[in-house]
Amino acid sequence: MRPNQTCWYCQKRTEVINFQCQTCNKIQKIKEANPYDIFDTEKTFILNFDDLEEKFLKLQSIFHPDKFVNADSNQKQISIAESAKINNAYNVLMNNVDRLKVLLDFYGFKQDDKEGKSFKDPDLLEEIMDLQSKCMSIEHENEKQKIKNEIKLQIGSLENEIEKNIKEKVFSKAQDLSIKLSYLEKIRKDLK
Amino acid sequence: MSLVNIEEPNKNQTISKCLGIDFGTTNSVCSMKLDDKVIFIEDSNKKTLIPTALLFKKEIVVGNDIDFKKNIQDCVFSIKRNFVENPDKKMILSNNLEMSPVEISKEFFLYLKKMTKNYLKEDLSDCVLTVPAYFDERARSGIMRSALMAGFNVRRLINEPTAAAFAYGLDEKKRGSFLVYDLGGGTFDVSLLKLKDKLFKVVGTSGDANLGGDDFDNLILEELILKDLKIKKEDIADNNLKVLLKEAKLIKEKSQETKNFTASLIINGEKKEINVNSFKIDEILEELVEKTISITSELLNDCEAEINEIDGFILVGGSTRVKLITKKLEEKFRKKIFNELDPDHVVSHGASLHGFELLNGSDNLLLDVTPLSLGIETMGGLMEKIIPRNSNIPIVKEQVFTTNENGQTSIKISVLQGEREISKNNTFLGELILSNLEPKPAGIPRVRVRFSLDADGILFVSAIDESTGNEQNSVIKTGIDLSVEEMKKIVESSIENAKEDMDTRSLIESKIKATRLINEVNNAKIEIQNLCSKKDIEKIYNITNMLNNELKKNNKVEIDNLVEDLNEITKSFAEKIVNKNFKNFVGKDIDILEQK
Repeated sequence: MRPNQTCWYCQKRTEVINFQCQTCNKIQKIKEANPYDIFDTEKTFILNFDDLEEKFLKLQSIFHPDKFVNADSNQKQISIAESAKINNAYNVLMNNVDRLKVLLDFYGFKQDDKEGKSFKDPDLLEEIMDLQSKCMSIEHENEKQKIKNEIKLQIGSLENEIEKNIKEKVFSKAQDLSIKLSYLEKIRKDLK
Repeated sequence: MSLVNIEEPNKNQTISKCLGIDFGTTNSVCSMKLDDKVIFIEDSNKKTLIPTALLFKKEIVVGNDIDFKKNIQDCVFSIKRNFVENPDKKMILSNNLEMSPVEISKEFFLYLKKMTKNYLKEDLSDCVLTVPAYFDERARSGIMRSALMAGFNVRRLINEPTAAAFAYGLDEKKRGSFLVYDLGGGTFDVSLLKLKDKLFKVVGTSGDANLGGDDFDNLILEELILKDLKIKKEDIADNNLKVLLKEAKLIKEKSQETKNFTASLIINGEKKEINVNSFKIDEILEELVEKTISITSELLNDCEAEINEIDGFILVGGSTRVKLITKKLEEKFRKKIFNELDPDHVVSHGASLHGFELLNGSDNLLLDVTPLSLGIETMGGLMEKIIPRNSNIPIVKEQVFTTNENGQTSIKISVLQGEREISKNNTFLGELILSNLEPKPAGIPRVRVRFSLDADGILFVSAIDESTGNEQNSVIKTGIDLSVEEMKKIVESSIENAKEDMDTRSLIESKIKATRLINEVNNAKIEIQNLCSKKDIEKIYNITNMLNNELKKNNKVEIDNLVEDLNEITKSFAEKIVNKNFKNFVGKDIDILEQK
């Protein structure tokens, strides 16, 4: 929180506590744009989701439109926009693939944005296709559970690897892994 | 430095009252939190459960005031179901009156308002209104418009299962993860909620906007009564069917308590008797109950939740009195089932608690989601999702559109809601037309469209032409009527400044009428330029401006006068339009004319 900013309403340089102007009490916009910064969270790939949820709820309890039912229309507008911004940022950070994209963006790593990101690695292609056909032929609930756990483990080890790559700033490697990650996440989601 | 006396905040502040309205398919309930407890509003018959039924005679008779024995065939029942199809489609009532679901329901809301005033001896406008969680944008905003037109200041629209969970969380101190199973007269909702201290969070919601107790009754009529008596449905008069459906409902209710009994009915003037067995009833209803169970399982899947993380089921809605439901839920999920709070009253109860907190402040946070994905039609008739279902609301998403032909000056975007891939299998919400683009080569113009779902779950769309910065606020309208946004403004301004004795309702009506007329004039701008004299054009815009100014004030007489003036001057223009249309036909084959 910056102690000194100009309030959009009273135009005074003022202290802002909990996003409230200490001169006129009006709600202030969130200045940060990066989801990590919105939640004041360290830019690591692996996050403590309980911690994140707590921060999310704290922000929503400040900005949610329910808290501005009696406020003037300017503040109502700010509340809707900022509450939506918090929801969006939370969704991004909760999603492995989106979160990695934000991190790579932040470190200035240029990502080839072509959808599909064709497989450079034929082994990976085969691995994914194997897994997909395995999922198609599931017959028993036990089998499904087994595959589910398998995928969970795979995603877990991928997460650790990506975290390591990000720390060591080998971004191209992290991006390569993100292809596998997004396929695994998709298979996991489709597995119902 | 002198000591400053600071008063304890909120100490002398008066408490704002807020009604919680559950507008149900079969019954409606109003309640209000007062001095730490919730009171339910009684009608003049001392009843709190108000049948959502209307009888249009010389006067409009509503709820328990209707003599159902005498008038059942002329009554309008289950009007809420009609919102799902189209809230603005006119229906023909028994006395040949033509009204839309929005208009009919407005009369019902007027009754609720009067009833509340009689009971509390105080005119209350502020309310929280509940809607089925699985209702789409059209049905949702339609119900909201009805309440607004009746002079209710709808401070928040909340989902019925969410309201019920809120009541359980606050008044029963429930904590943990719960599935709220809400089966009403016309709709089925199921929501997964996390209840913590000061936090009530909807994780996901699903349901069927066309599955409720009414369908149970219908099935009993078809599969038991008509089958047993070997009578075809189409051989029975509509009026008789209405009575028989009520009989089927009574049979359903009685079979929950009594194993075997005989019911007597009158079909096509003849008295008939049938034997009812509760096992048979269960057999008939099983398919529909199974449907709700599989929707519930799917929701768990969608939320990636395991059943062992769930602490129990909360049963809501009058139709959950069907014991087969409890039995099936227990068989399938083996979880505790809670129904301590009356399933008919709990939704209104939760709404009034939330209403109180909205107006008087609270540390509690209620987070809800949107039930259906929102998207647009892409080339090839497919739907592209922009806001996926179960997203937390409010939510704002932006998308950039461009042209696909050289020199194209407008873009048409169809807005859809639903989960299907083919766009025509989803609900069509409306069209957004972005016009006045500068003619440029295909793919060059960039129009940024913003889709925003507010905390009521109501959609607003706006568009910016990035090259010119021109903004168009394009509220998606369901038809000719005013949008929720326009109506909300009217109601708020009318109530805000109203004097005690002023009739807010007729003021609201005048304002709605005036706003409609202004919209019509605005929509016909081009025709007016082409068809009217310079003098008339000037007059039309002068009056429109004056009217716009008057709308900010509350002088009903002045508004009515200006509306009359505007009607008078545009009358000749309307005639001209007719003439012009006629001219378009001249010289064409009579066949073509008839086809039109």
